[in-house]
Amino acid sequence: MDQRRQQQQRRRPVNVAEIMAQIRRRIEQKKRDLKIGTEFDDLAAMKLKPLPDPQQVKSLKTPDLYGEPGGPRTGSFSMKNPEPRVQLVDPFTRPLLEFEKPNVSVEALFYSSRGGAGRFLMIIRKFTRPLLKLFLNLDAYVYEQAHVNQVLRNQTITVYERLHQQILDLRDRDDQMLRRIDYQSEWIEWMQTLRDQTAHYVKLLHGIQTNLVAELTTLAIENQNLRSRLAEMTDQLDLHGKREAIMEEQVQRIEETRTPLAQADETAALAGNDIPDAHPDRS
Amino acid sequence: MKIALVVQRYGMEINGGAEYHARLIAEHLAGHVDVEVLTTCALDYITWKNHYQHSFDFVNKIPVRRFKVLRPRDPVAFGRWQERLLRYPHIAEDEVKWLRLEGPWSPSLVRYIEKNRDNYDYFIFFSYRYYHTFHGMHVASHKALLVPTAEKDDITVFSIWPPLFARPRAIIFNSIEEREMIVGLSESAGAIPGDVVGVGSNIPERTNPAEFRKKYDIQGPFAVYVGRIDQNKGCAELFDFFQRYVADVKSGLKLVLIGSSVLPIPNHPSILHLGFLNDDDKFNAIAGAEVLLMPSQYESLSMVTLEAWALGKVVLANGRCEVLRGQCLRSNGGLFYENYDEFAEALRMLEQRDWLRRELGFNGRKFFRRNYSWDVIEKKYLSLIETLEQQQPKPPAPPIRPLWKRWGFSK
Repeated sequence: MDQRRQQQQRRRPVNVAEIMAQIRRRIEQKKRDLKIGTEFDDLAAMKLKPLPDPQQVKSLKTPDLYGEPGGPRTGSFSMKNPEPRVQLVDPFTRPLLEFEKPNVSVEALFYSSRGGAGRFLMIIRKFTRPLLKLFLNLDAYVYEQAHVNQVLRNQTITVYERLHQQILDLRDRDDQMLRRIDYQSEWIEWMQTLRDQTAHYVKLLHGIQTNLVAELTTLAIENQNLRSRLAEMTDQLDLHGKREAIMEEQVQRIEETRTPLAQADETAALAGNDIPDAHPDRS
Repeated sequence: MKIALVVQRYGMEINGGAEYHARLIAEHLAGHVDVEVLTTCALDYITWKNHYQHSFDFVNKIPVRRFKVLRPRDPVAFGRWQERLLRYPHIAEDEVKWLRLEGPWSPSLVRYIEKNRDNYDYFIFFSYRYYHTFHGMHVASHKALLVPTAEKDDITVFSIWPPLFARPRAIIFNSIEEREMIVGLSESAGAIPGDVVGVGSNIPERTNPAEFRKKYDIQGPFAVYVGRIDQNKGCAELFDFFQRYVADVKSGLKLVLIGSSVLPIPNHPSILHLGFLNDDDKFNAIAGAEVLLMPSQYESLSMVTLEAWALGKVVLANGRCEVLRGQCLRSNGGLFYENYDEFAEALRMLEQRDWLRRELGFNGRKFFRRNYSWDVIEKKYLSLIETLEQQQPKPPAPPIRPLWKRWGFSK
């Protein structure tokens, strides 16, 4: 009975609501700690991508486009040495081509050489002209031929005009392309500058990140060591608590042997308020 | 005085739930009054197929009348009908049909109660959600006491329950949370005489954990789960939490499972399944365990929890079950959890602190003795019956008229 009273005196009052509140506070604290841990895990799990080697980046300023400086040019475009342009002729002011010249006269049919025989023949043809005109319409033949020549001329002029217009368009496009190439070359130069800067920053960040990972690993190990020490100290505390209880029992026994009558009175006084225990071996 | 206990199943093979509760109450009340049990021939709670052949039997010297189940439950049809009722608007007759589909559908049991209601002084109906309680309390409402064994689940929204809870002469609750829930469903139930009683347990005088360890070759500290290993009991979540706990905390704690399993048990070196054990081994296991785990979310009264407290053992319960949570808080005998973090922290605390386990177990034992010892429970039942005896008797309900009379064909 007296031993049970001592056990009850040693009991620490527990309150489940308070314990649960304490558990929830710990979980909240742990979550706050874990937030940093989660970031660390993310960093650790992040797959580091190989950094691009600036030497391996193929520049757009390749010899295919501009040729080696001082070497033979392989491309068809050049801003610095453009091809000399052919001066086109205005089709409306140009001289007439050979086939565009006016047709021969109908009278030429009767011409002959300037010699005596020629003159004789011209006299005979002059006398027989009405007869020839009676049987052959030579004018119609000549005018028909002249009309055909005119049509061919018109068609040739049309084709020539189209070709002229196309050449003008191509020259405009050529100018536009040259302007675009100028702009893109400037843009490429600017991007190369940016790339060099980015590569520099990436190298810098990579170094910082590596140092951070190393630092966090060290901190995690230290944290683990501290926890182990805490657990060890908690165990020691429990052990000391048990030792304290045993020593208290021993002191009480010594007191019992000294004043048995007084102890008996006290036991009798407290006996009424005790709760019977069906399993004293486990309590 | 003759009292009939009406329950859906009854027998020595049933070691849990409202049926075991009813058996313990019947056996303890038999020392004070004449007790008879009215039940069905069913044993399997899923199909309610007729198992027991004899219509009259004695179980532990208690007379038992068994009635045939007219048709076994079709779980698929029942599940489909329940889903329909929970999702769509319906009328009260649909819910009555739900009772029939749920089973055990035993009209002969209800007819017996109606014909013989004058031969009994009181009927104590167990479990509000079954066919026999709904119809039996209609025909014998003037003599009915209800032990609802209700837990908070989906079907509590049905419209047939508020009039049902207003019908008996007294309601015997398992916990304060259950009373609050039922009064919340039916205001009339608050005006009916009632008490929070619960149930006790036959705790052995002495336990021998060393024998249990030797018999099943269990070494080192272990936590124990006792009961049916089922998804509905929260066992899947328990397995998940425990495996994570062992991995996270690097704990040597083992989980010993006692009970028949309807769930695949993970193949883990720290999880040991011993199957169904007799009462001696069960109590030895609880006494030898560091902590009892109770993961069920739907409990009106966990008898295993009470047994653990009776043996001075701490309990770690599912805090989403209001009853278990309330009992842990009132008793100061157990911790509870609602998620993995709380589970791990609470279990780690209990595993590492001997003094905390000892103090919580001591409080649990004190709580059990003050509230759930058989002396207290028997006294509460008898005093409630005495109170009813002093009250004005309620007029009996009119007999159920046949269909042709209800539809007016008799004119």
